[in-house]
Amino acid sequence: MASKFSMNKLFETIKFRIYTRALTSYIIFAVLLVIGQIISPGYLSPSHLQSILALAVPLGLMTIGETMVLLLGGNEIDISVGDQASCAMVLSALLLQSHPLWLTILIVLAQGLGFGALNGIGVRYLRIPALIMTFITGRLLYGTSIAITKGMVPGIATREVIELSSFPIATIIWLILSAIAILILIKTVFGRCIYAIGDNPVAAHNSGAPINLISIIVYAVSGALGALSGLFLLGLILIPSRYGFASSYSLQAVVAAILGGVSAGRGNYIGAIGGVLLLTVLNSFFTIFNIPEAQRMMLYGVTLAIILLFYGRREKLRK
Amino acid sequence: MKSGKLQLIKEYLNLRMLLTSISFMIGVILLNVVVNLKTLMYISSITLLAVPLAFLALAELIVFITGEVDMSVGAGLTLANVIPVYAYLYHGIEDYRFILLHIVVGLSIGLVNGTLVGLLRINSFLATLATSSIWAGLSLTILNKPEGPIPTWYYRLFMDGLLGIPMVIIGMLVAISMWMVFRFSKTSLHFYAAGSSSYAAFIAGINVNVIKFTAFILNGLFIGLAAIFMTGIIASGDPTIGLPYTLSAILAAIIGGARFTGGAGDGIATISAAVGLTFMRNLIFSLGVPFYQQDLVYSIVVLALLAIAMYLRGVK
Amino acid sequence: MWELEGLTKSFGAIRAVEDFSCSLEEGRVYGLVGGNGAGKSTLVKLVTGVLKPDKGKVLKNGNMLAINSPRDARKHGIAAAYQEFSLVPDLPVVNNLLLNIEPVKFGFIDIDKMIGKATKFLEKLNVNIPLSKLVRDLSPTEKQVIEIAKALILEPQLLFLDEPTNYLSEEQREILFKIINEIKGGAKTTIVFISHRIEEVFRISDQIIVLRNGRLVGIYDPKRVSIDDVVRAMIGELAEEYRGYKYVGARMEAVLEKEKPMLSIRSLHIMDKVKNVSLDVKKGEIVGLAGLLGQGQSEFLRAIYGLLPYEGMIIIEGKGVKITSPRDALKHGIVYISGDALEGVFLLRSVKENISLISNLQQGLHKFVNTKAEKELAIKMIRKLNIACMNPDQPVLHLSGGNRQKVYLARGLTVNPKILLLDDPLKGVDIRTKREILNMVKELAKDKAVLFFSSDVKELLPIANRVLVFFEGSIIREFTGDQLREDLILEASIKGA
Repeated sequence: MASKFSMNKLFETIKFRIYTRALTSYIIFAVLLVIGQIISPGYLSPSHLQSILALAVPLGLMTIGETMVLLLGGNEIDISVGDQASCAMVLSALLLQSHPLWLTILIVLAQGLGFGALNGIGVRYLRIPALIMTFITGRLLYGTSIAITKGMVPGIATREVIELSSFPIATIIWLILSAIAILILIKTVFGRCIYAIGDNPVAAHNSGAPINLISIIVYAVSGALGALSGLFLLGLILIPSRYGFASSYSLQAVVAAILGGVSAGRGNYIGAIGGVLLLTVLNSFFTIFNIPEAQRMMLYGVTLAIILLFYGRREKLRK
Repeated sequence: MKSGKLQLIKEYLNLRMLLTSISFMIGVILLNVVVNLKTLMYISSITLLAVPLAFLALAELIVFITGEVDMSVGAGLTLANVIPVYAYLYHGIEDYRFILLHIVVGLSIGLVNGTLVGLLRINSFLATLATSSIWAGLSLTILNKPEGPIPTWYYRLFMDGLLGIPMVIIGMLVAISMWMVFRFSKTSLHFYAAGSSSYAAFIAGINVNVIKFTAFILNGLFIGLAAIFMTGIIASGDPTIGLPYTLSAILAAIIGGARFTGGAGDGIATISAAVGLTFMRNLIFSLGVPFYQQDLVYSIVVLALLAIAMYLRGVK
Repeated sequence: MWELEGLTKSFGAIRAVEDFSCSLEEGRVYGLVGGNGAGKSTLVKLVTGVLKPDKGKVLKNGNMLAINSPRDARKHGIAAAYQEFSLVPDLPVVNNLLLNIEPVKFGFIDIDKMIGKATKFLEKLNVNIPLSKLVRDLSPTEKQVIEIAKALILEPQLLFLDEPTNYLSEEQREILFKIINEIKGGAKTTIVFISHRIEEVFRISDQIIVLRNGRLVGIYDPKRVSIDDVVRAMIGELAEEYRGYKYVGARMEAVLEKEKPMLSIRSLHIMDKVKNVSLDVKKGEIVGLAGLLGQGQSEFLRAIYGLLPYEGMIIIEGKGVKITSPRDALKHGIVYISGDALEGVFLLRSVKENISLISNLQQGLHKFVNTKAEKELAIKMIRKLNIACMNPDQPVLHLSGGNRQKVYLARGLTVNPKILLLDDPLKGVDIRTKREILNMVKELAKDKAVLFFSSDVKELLPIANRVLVFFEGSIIREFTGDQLREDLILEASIKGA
């Protein structure tokens, strides 16, 4: 009995500290940068830092959407963002062969909004749990990417896209979108509603908030951002090596947001940026040490499990 | 008195759900035959393919009944396939331990999931999402590409059958009888109670957390069984084999009557749904859908079936 | 022989049960009565292991029992039939009856034995419900029967029956009483019988235990005291205090008589909770709703706000409307404040955000929040309702319960509703805050129609024009003028007449 008691106390204390998660993730990011310099001199050189900032953009965009979804609380989550990116990568590689960039961007956004809205409808109207619905949409996107390219390599990134995805353009675009997102969350009625729903869905309903509509919009936006990030990934990777390339980014976006202090009705993208930067640097370490994708996956799984130990637990039955 | 017993058994067998699911299965098989008469020749090998999915769907069902979910069944299947084959290829384990290893891995997976969800009370959606990454990553670390072969006797088993009985029949019999044993055990009633109303179960003195833990252990056992058959079918260890199975397993359980909120679902209906889904995959192939569209079409079908199931559930 | 010693339980600031001690002898029936918030159901759950007592012990024949879960309680022979039922909807009747005591043969369910035991038992109770029917398909009456049977089949030594007759027919009640007498005499079971129907309690009990505000008031012998004596004990000395209380108010103006009602309800029917209720509320009128908890008052108000489906008519300013959601209700100028602050307040958001949410929503989702206007509105409301907070940017989490309620109320008031529905909003609020809020409501009611339900009649008296008493889903009496006395209203609430 005594050990159980102190376990809970321990969790509560650490949980309280996690409220300063946002700041913590920035601090860890800074620490990792220093470690980076130690293990790989030249890490902190301006050109390398610039490439880190460009490398962070796809995950950064995905995390904007994920943040908004996680803020809605309940069991809301979007694990289709990675697949949105994968499909968009492939789609844009195909389209850019014969179409201008602006049109490609529009089509990619349409993909994102369409599948995103589908997520919202499935979750809200069909009562399919978000994890499962977005999982299905992820598979749909995966299938779509194979179908539209007929199983063949779609093409390579064009010069325009490569420029778009590198520093400083990519980073600036990311910053602008981040600013818009943060503005919407903090300053608009829509944003307020998101926080309200995450904080107390019953009270939100009782206050007349259109929860279904807001949810669908949030999932649609998350999808659009996920798709958009695929374009940037294309510019960075140059050629999609396989379908579902960016699938694992979904989990990373969730972890980044949570590390940045985001949870139901609480937190902001500002914190999540810290999480994004942290994970990007961590990923670069994995590349430096040649840690294969497989083990990265494991690591993210373990990280998520540990985070969940501190929040995300069922209530006790006996009060 | 006699009619009371009959009524009760009918309730336990969940005849309504069973009817829907079996009609679905038969419907899909018939469609297959209509499209391509040759299917009749291949029925047993297609059904064999359904056996791992059937076990996975049962694994999922058991967890659904208690009100939780397992997003890692597919990844678990992969791990339980990869480890024994690795053990054979690199450590020469080829006797009864080879087959036993499938179960051991399955149970270990169940133990981890059960501890996280049952004992530590973590949200099962996210917990199993996390563990699915771990199993998938671990599989790829152990074998980074499909590798074979498997022990000869094992291979023979799936070619010739056990004592002359084809493995597909063994598989189905094992699945069906395991479900029956479960369904008529006292524990299953507590599982349904815990999922249907954890409050009522708590008041009756049932330890809901232990129930959920046990559900995951059973889930692990079924994953191990699924892997035993999967290894025999693909005759290799494939670190990417299980990934599409999670969704199919979930859908099969839902068609089999499970609810996301818990407290419902029937094993035989789930098994027939698994068979139906496997033939659905085959149907897509037989219809001449080009290979690069098969994934998409199947996913659309999955979503459509799920939507229909949820809608019908709501109407009822 | 059972002894309960010093049982205490608090939920946050609310003392549900305070230092309850008494002895229960075997073979006797104890009626447990008390008004709203008296602590009856909580007491039951403390003994059956569902809730953990802050303090106190349970002793059986002199030995202290370790009850850490319902399982332990069962082991010691304690069982209960709960007011809100503890049945598993997706299992058949027989499995609910024998949950966790299923007969087993070689590891499998012994179906024959199970059916045999259940059938024999139900026959004895003269119950005719098919064993294989799922509980979710049963009517409330059938569910009540099974809930009781479930407790009886355990053959407990200490049995709690919490409102067991709510859904039973006359006939079934008689059978229940017969059974109680049987097990009391035969197996020497100790029975604790809770009911809001005082005559029933008098009929069946050997002793009557009266609770008030979580404390034991006294134990009475039904053969020596009258119903009125017990009712008085339940109500307390307030009767003395308020005997001379006269309704003082400036409200019965002739003006009101002439006006057409702002809100009219006709034949409202909500499942089995509200039966055929009709009433009118005029602009400027405060109609108080009284009665014991759970008699349908909450459901009535919630239906008008679109939180519950209903049958019947709602007429606002002469026009019939159909309200299916809070959005509908808000559009028609109806605001609802419930007593559960958790339903209305966003703990993580600031006071000013909480207060302005509805009015912000009315502006439109795409609009930017006018932070200056928001702050001004918040400050205005904070002053008006005297909300104790350091500044409008403070998260509501930091505010006390009473102030949270004020924030909840403030939000509703910002949109200037035509109709205000108050569902026991002052439960758990401190006296000073209560007075402030009541004054506020009185003032605001000048141009609104107000329906105000309170589980504490004292709150209604200073501001209500008239008080309607609910009993088992219907309005049984109306009190106006100098009949507006707490003791009279409470008596009617308890007696149901």
